[in-house]
Order: sequence, then structure tokens, then C-alpha cells
Amino acid sequence: MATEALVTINKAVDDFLLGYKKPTDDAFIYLRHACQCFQDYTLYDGLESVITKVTVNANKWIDMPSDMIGFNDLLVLQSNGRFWSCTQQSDIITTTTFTGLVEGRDSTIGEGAAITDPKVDTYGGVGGVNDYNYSEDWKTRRIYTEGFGTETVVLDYMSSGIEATGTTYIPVLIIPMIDAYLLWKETYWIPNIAKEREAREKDYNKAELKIRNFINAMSYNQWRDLLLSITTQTAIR
Amino acid sequence: MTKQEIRSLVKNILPKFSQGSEYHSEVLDRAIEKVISQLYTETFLRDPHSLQRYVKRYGGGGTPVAVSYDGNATIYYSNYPTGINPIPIPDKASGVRRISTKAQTGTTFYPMDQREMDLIYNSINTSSVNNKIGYVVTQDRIEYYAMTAAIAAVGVRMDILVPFSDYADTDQVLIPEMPDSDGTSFTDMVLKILVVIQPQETTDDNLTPPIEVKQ
Repeated sequence: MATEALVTINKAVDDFLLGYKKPTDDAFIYLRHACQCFQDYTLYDGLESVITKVTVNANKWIDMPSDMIGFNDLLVLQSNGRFWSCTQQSDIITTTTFTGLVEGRDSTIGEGAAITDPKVDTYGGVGGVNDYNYSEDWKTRRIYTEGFGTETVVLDYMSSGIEATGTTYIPVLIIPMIDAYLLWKETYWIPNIAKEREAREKDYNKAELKIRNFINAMSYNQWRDLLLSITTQTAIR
Repeated sequence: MTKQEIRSLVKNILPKFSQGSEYHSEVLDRAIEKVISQLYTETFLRDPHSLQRYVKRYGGGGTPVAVSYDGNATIYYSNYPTGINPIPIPDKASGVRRISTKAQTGTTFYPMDQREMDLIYNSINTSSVNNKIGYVVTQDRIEYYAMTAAIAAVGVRMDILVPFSDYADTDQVLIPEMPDSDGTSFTDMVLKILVVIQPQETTDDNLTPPIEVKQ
């Protein structure tokens, strides 16, 4: 069995200090930048989203998890074994009304009211319309929904990546990128290597692109299934 | 060489003075200490990692250095081993070159300064990463960042650069054999300090003279 595919972020930093003969004096500074690098990777390159069950409350919104920094999808649990993806509707009414000290939705002014779809099945019909909709409100960190009752749905989101209460693990494939990032960032606090900043930034960009290509490149099987899904097979003569 | 052997070496290569005139061993120790500390600093400036070769280990052999909790400051700390004041070196670890858990584990200790310790409590991500303990070398004790109660209960090991005068006479003292830019070696450097100090008459003649009884 080969070595683990996930390592702690601590190990990544220690490995960097070992590999580049760095003094342990700045270990915490390197750790700080390694966390930042991992967070950038999580947000811009990685596919490690968090999929978790959440509940739509009586006011028809979902509170975003505290570590959520990016939204991927809101999914309905179906009985056929597949998720059903919701549709973003940026014009869902997201305001609330206070009655005394109690925050709620006032349907008389449209808050929490059902969307009336322009769904017709006669001449000039506009086709199918998704029954499940959402709108993000990042300021209040809520996802307002439409089409749901108070039910359990699934939220697919990008996490900050750094565990607040446990151990933070990172994929080993990003170790070369973290090394390049730390070598670039140290030029900001080590004066005599400041002139190398631009060259080291390029090294980091190369390391990031390599990983991005690896993550996003389609495999043979994916191409095969894509082609087979859009073609009709006929007899081969 | 042991401490007493080094002292004896220096004493024997000093010029001989008249009967009763000699350097007090405390003067010799301080001169030797000054030179060794200088050599440690020069070694550090040439290659910081190599300084580890000249430390003395405390807390090994089943008797770790105790870690205590300061309830007023709400931080864990260790006192220096009794009678030891580490040689200050110009980096964050200073004379405490390494600290580790009693049994070697994945938990690592890193030197930090007081400023970093203050800032890290408000850091965005860094303070959430566990298994990395910081230590700040202060004038009177070593203070820890992110020390756990479990490690504190067991104690730690530490490698310290010990001043020559704090060694016991029978302790091995490791000296960098490194001539300076003029080719001056360790003993030459010690003699250079002592040559400007005149030896003193050290015969203990302060005793009460015997009472002369006349017959």
C-alpha cells in the first residue's frame, strides 16, 4: 500500500521546512500562508465540496453553515435515488418583517409567497418550469427558497477548508503547489530575496495550472460516456 | 572535554607568574564562557541548524521538564532547569534550540516571539490548526502557545545552549572548533582576554595567625 492521499496541513508545512532547509523560526508564518493557499485551492480549483442535509425553516429560508464560502447547488431528495437540482431565481423576495421582536415573512407583500409560473401548455407555451427555486442572500447568510415546505434538502457548498475543531487534511497532489506558494510568499518578509518575487509567482502559477488541468481534464471513460449519451448506435458494417 | 579539563587546559597554557599569583577559577570560567558564547553565535551566523550539535538535553531519561499553568496570565510555561540561564542567540529560539514531547510524537514545538503569540490568537486560520505548539523564550521562563493539558501533565524535553559557568565540573562541554577570520583558535581567544587581566595573589592569608605562646 502506498502512502496516504490525504495529509494534515501541519505535515505539509513541516515537509516544506525539511525540504527547503528552512529555519523553524518562521513555522507559524509559513503555516498561515499554507492555510491561505489551501483555501484558495478549495475555492478556485478543488472539487472538494461539502454535501450536507439542511432544513428549510418555517420562514422558507436555510441558514448557511458558518464555514460556507461558496455556493454550488441546492438539491431535493427524491425517491428515485437521484438529486433534483433547484433553480436560482434572483428575484425571489428576500425581505422579512418584524412583528414586535419576532422576524417573519409577510405574504401580503409577497414575502414567502409562491412564485406564479408562466406555465402554459397551449399555443405559445414556454415549456417546463422548475418547481423548486432559491435565492442566496450573502449579507444575512441565508438561502431563501420557494417551492418547499419545512423539509430536509441537501446543500452542496464550498467550505473554508480549515477545520475549526478538528484536524485539517489536504490532498497530497497539492503539496508542490503549497511549496511553490510558500516560496513565493516568503519573498514578502525575507528582504534579500524580494527580487525573486516575480519568478516565484510564475512558478506558483505553473504549479496551480498543472493541478487545475489534472482536476478538470476529462478521462477516457468520461469522453466515452459523453459521446455515447448523445449518439445513437447503429449496426457497424 | 569536561568543564574542569577545559579550565585546566587554559590554566596550564597561561604564562607562569610568581609564586602565589594566579587567576581565580571564576575569572577563568568567565573568560572561557565569553569565548564559547562568541563561537556559538558565529556558528549560528554561518549555519543556524548546526548549533544543535552543542546543546545539552534536559528532561530526557524519564524525568521530563515540568510544564506549569499560570492562572493569572492563563498560559502554560516551564521554568529553566535549576541554575541554567541559556545563552541568548539572535533568533526566536535563542538558547532553547529545541523542545519536544517526552515521547517523540507528531506534535511539534516551534519558536515564536511575543508579537507572534499576541497576533496568532486573532489569526483567521492559523490558530485553528492543532498539533503545533509555539514557545516563547523570555528572560525568566519559557511560555507556550497552544499547549495541551495532556502534554503539560507529562512534561517536555528541551535542548539548551548552556553557558560554560552553568555546567557542572564533570559535564562534557562541546565547543565549536572554528578559528576566526584571523586564524585565532579557542585557546588563543581566551588568552587574548586574560592577557589584560593581572593575576592576583590568591594565597589565603586571612586566617587568624596562631597565638604565639612564650615559654
